[in-house]
Amino acid sequence: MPSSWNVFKANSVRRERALDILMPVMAVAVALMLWSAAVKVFEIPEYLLPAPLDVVVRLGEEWRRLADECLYTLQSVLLGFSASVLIGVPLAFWVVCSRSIERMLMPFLVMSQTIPKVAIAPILVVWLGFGILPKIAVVFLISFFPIIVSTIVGLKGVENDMIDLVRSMGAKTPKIMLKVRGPAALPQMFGGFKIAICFSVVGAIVGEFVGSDKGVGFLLLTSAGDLDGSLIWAALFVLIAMGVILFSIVSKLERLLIPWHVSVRIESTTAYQS
Amino acid sequence: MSGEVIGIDDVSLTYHAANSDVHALDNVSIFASEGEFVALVGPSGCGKSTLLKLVSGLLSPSSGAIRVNGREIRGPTASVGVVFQSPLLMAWRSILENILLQIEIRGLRVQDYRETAQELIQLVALEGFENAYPHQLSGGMQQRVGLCRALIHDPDLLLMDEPFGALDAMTREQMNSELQSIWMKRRKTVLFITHSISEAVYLADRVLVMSPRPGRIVGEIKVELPRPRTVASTETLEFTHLTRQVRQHLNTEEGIG
Ligand SMILES: Nc1ncnc2c1ncn2[C@@H]1O[C@H](COP(=O)(O)OP(=O)(O)OP(=O)(O)O)[C@@H](O)[C@H]1O
Ligand SMILES: [Mg+2]
Repeated sequence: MPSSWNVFKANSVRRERALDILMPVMAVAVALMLWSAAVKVFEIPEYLLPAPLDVVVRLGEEWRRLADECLYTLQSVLLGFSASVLIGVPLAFWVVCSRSIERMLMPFLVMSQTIPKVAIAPILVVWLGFGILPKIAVVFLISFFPIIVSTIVGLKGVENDMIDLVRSMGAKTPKIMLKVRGPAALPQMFGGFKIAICFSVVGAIVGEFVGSDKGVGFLLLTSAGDLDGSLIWAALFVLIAMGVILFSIVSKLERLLIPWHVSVRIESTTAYQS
Repeated sequence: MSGEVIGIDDVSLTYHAANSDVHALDNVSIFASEGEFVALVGPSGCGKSTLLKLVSGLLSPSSGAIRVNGREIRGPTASVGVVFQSPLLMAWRSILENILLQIEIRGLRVQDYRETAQELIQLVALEGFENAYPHQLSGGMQQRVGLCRALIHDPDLLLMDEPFGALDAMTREQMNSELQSIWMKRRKTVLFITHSISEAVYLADRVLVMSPRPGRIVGEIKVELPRPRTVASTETLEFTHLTRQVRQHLNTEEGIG
């Protein structure tokens, strides 16, 4: 391959990476400016919608408390999400290995999703007390479904011919799972993880709404009770930041674990653009 | 020519599908001896792939027996390499790793086969691409990787199901000539399925013609053109005569002739 081509390719990939960061930052900045302008022009009172700058000032004043609440919420998010991954992924493998397991398990999985989490959260409090456990349980209930469903879809999404090919080499179910279906499912699995990590943050807040004296969800409730607009929004900012950071950690892991998938994606997008 | 490598002995197969049974193969017998190149042509849906799955041990017959190297097979066998219509490479494995998949799955020592893999890569002119990934290769190159993967464990029998069907005409011609030279070097027994009559005649020692519903063998044409065959051999009168014979068998079965 000529080296000039390599240079060209490296540059275009680097440009893609830079744009990956620059464009979202700019989009958010524009949104914040519009928000500021709107608050000023329409003279919106603070308890309805504070200006972003006021929220930032409040963030600075309350950072210690916010950090405390944030850590508490983060704990239930991470523990619940980890439980979802550790239980959801093996369960998906099991379902795909056996038709009868699938038949028996799927009704429960689907039913568990039709129950509104807000409705079941008080029961969880009754069962598990006021500590962190019911919050972890809500996070788990809300986040394991996207994980298990996307993992199943990924595991099943392998061409029949591919399965025949490895079977002709003598592979039995465990090897097919390990060498073919498992790796092939990774892109879909990470799709599920990305949805699940965002759901997890929502789940933790729902858990805290129902019965808690700690956490960002609790802070949201009390500050809303006080009509303290800038504190509500400061808490929301913290929550958004938590979601965004967790999401980008999962994306980073995706890049690390399945470079073949990510590089295919980047190359095809640059090819379309040039 | 010596011992029998493929023995398909009066085999019938019926698929039991949800709403109706499909009688896919009816009393089919095919024998191939060591080093023989047998091509199988027939209209779509006549049971060619089914036959290949039987020989590779992926399916078992409703009646009759299938032997590879004289031994009746029950399940996938060691001495078979399979190539399908699509290359079926794993996106997460490099070219070399894709070729060595065969070794890993069979539970052999990967270390022992690195050299063989390298030789095969050279044989199909893919040097320098060992560490590339499938998406960086053209369709023809990918299919060559599939061929290497089928040959790496040195099987007695190579089964190919329309391996070049998805390639353009020019690449296909080139792959045919490559396959011929690989076959002449290694002298594997080959069962080659194709839709293309000229491809079958160009490659094979013997062309078998199948008819559909239920699949039966309705014709056998021996091809005794000298090897190595070239593009020039496809323009000879004899070649034309042979392809016409194959076509006639196909046509009478479909009620056109
Ligand atoms: N798993 C299956 N269940 C039911 N019927 C099947 C199955 N596989 C194949 N058949 C039927 O068996 C017949 C032969 O199929 P087969 O795939 O062997 O045809 P083929 O000759 O390879 O066709 P093509 O040239 O299009 O690949 C067809 O009528 C098909 O519908
Ligand atoms: Mg077929």
